[in-house]
Amino acid sequence: MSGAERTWGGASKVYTTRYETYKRITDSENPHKFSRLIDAFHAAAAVGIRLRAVPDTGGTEKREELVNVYSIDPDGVLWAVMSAIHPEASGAERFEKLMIYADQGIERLEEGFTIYGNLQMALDALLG
Amino acid sequence: MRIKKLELSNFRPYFGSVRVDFSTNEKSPVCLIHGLNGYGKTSLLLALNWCLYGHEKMKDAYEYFNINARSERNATMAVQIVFENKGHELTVLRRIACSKPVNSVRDLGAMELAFYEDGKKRQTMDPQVIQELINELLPPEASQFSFFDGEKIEMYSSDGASEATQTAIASVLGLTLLNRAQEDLDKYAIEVNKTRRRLLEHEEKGRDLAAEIQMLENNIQEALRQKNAIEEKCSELQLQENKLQDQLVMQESAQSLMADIGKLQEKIDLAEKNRAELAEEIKESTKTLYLEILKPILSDQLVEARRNRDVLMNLHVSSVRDEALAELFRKIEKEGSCICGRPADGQHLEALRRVLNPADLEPGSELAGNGLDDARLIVSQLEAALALCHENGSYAEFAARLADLENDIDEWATSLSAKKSQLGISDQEAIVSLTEELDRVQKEKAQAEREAGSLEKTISDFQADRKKLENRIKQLSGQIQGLDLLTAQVDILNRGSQAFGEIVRRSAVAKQNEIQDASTAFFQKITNKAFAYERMIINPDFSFGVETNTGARPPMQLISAGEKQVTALSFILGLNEYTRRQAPIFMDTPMGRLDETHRRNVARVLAEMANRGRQIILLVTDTDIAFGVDEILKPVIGANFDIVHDQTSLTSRLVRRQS
Repeated sequence: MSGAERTWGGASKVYTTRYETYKRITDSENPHKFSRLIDAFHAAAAVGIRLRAVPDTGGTEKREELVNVYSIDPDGVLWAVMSAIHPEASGAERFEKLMIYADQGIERLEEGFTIYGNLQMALDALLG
Repeated sequence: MRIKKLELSNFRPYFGSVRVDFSTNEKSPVCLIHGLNGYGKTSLLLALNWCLYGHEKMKDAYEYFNINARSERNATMAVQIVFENKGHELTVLRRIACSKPVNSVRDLGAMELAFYEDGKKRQTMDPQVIQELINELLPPEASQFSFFDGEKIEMYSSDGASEATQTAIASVLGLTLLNRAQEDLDKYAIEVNKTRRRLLEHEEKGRDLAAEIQMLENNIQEALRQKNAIEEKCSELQLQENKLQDQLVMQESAQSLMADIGKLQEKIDLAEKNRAELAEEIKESTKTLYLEILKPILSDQLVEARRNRDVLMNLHVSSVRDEALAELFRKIEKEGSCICGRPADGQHLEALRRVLNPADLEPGSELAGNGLDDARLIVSQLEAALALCHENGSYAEFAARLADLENDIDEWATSLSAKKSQLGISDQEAIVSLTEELDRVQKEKAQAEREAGSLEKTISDFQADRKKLENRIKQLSGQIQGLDLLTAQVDILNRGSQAFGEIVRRSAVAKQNEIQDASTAFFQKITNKAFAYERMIINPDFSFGVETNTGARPPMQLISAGEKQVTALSFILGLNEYTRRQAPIFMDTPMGRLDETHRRNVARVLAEMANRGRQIILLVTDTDIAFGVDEILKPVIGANFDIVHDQTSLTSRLVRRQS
């Protein structure tokens, strides 16, 4: 890392290989699901970071546009934690890792949600 | 037997004490007492009878009490008769002594009766014993033919006088006891019959009461039937009431259930509202959920970042010092003198190097200076991120609340569903209808119970009445137990009376010929038609009649009043003769309706009786001794008395004429 810049390597969109999963776990009318995609992304990324999850498929799956990059980290929290755990990585690398974390996290969340019926219990089960 | 003396005290017109001495010589036993009408002749006859036999009624004694003496205190009415009988002097005294003025019968004192024999008083407390002595001396049935009112003897010869005649004959025949027994039997039969009639009335009353009881019994049975019907109705109404109350309870339970459902629904609605609010809050909290997830890793990374920063900071400080020392050595070497003032020779420089060790200066110190800024940035970003985590991070709480709330909602919804399934058909109209019906049934039942109570009381009253009537019948039954006996008694008494009457009648019939003969003897002497009349007849029915020389018996209706008096007088004298008692004859106005011839004939008969020693006391008016009567009697008259009457004081006294 060089220089104190909060950037994601110039990316503009967040892509995901689990777009359908995001759609299933997002419902603005259901308080047990996420009401917005961005909220689902944040939680999925956080779960992935906590679990230090790595992709199984090696990133060959088809990615779909999920949200805009400018909306994902208004307070710099994700940047701070990604910078802390990946100090040597560049902004673009960190962003790539972040999307991978999110894809893995959303997968795990849906699994827990399917089992427990609500997010909190799924989180409790995932993060112990 | 003769009357020697008569003493009156305050008797009728005789005020005070009046004494009469009837003593005469043996051959002149006739005493005449002269007095005008109203002077007190009959009072002497009454005094005689009262003294000897008294009167049952005290009212008579009150009327006899002299009117002047009544106003006196301690006045006494008394009559005393002195008899001479078989050489003994017998005195009868009857008197009433009063302690206060006599204004009514109640003011009279007790009646006293005394009997003296030769001046010696018979000691007895029982007046009945005295009366028996008097009756023995002169029986009352015989006295009526000795002491009589000439004007009243016509009762024997008047129409329908057979009973008096029969009684008179019975009296002289000594059948008075039978007569009295018959009278007593009649009286007793009447009394018994009265009792019997009363008992018959009781029996009738008993039958009426029995009928009344039967009626009451019918009423009781009817009332009981009604009461049973009403009680049955009460039972039915009770069943209806129970059923309605059960229904109402069910309806009210349903109402309660509905209320519970309403409350549950309200809770559920409120919870749903809270859930919606909570859902909004959760929506907000999911925006910062990732902060809660990242919070542990942020904390760990902050510690690590701070350590890296500090390492880099130390590296940077060492680098700066080493650079400064190197610069100082270069300056000391260049100037050749140390900063301490000594020459900067080789030895001194070597010593400085050993102390300051400038060889430690690392080439990487510049890198350390470059990484320090990044480390500082990361630390500050991590600190800011953690601060955000602390500010937010309520998703777990909201989720827990939501879960609890949804559990509650589920539980309530389950309960609501259960209650709704319990709830049958229920509505307020049904409850109102049931309540009205229950009210109607309860009122009807209360009315029926009141009617039953009223009937109960009526039955109780009927039963009490029946008990009273039964007691009354019991009493009556006890009273009428002797009814048959009384009926038998009445029958026996009537038959006894009839038997006695028959005995008297037959005895009288048996003796009536002898009495008829004795009477005929006087009749033939007294009648002025001796030439025509053969004899005096006493008919089988004891009525009088006369039989002519031709055997004819003219009806008594055709006989004159004077002749009837003659037959009666003849009958009296005949009976008197028949008794052979020789009691004194005390006659009040004996001549009455008789004509001159009859009067003289009577005088002759009396003189004849006097000649035979019979004492005769005649109460006469002037007319009684006119027409030669006094001349006929003169030889046998022993004493004459005048009744002197004071018209002012209405009192009388007796004065003996001087011969």
